[in-house]
Amino acid sequence: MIIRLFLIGAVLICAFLAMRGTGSSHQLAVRRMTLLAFTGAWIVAVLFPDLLTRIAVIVGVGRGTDLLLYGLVVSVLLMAIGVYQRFARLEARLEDLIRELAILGASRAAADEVPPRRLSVVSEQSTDGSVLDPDQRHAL
Amino acid sequence: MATTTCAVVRMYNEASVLAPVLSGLGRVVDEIVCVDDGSFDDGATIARTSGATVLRHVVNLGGGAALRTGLDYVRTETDHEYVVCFDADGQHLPEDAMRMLAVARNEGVDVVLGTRDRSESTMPRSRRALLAAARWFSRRTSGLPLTDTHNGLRVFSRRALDNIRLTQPGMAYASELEASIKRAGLRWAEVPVTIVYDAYSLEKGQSNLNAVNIVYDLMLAQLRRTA
Repeated sequence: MIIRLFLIGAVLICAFLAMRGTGSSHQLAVRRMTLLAFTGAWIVAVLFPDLLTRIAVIVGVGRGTDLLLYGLVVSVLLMAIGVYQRFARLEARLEDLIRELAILGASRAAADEVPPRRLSVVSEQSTDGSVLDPDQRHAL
Repeated sequence: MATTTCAVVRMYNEASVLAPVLSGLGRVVDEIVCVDDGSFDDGATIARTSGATVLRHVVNLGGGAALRTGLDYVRTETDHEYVVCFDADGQHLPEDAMRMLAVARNEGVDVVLGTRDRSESTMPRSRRALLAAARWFSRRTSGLPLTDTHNGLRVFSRRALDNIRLTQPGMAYASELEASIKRAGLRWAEVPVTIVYDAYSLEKGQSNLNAVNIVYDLMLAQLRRTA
């Protein structure tokens, strides 16, 4: 009984945390619906474990827990893909922003004779100023 | 449209060799556009003092992104008829750039690509084998019979600039370039050029291992195209 309380409680907390998402509204709605469905299914499975086993037998998987495992693997893969896509999109937007800054900086510098400003950038440099992963683009 | 020319010089911490490169190049083109890709040396200052236009990425984005920035700037903010892509590390020769510009003008070509295929052997053997493999792969994917797909020395006409769309991050821009040439029906030519493999540029240049990344990017780009 205790384990059931724990499992249900844990997934409710996760669901709540994950609800506060980001991303396009369409994706967000889909994600939230999936999340609710998953949470509901989980609670049912915890309260009625035999149900899980019966479904497993119907679909041709040996045990309920095996079914759960397969479902978990698929969910994790989908999630990872979603993360990767959002990450790639973020990087593309960042690049656009940095490019815009660079082009604007050129005309500003020319107009005011101001040398290009070096912001104190924390993301790329180690504390001693050594190079972190330089991306060289010389001829191969 | 003007009849002037410019060069896009990408740089990442090349301050120690930059000045002679820029002065040599400055005799061949009318304007030099330096793209400082997040360097933390004073290359940008050197470039400005020498009279170049300097665009600065606040963080390092990589060679493909730096090239895009330079070409975007030339396309939207200038009026030049031709743009030369030229390396900052001394691997390229201004004489080659001059010859490529002449070819573009005289033969009415939109894209001039430098090729090492017919030049002599300062190239390390392993590099030559790698390039042969890249060539094979490129031919199978893009269908353009290029002999040197990763040569940074290129000339674009304004028409080429308007028709080239580079969107892929990383080094896959080379294959995107070929696809753009094909799609827009741009006229192109290859000109034999010399790449100087001296100690400085070899040490800083792409390791052969980075070819793994390039091939990966190219295959990914190919997948995206066919998807």
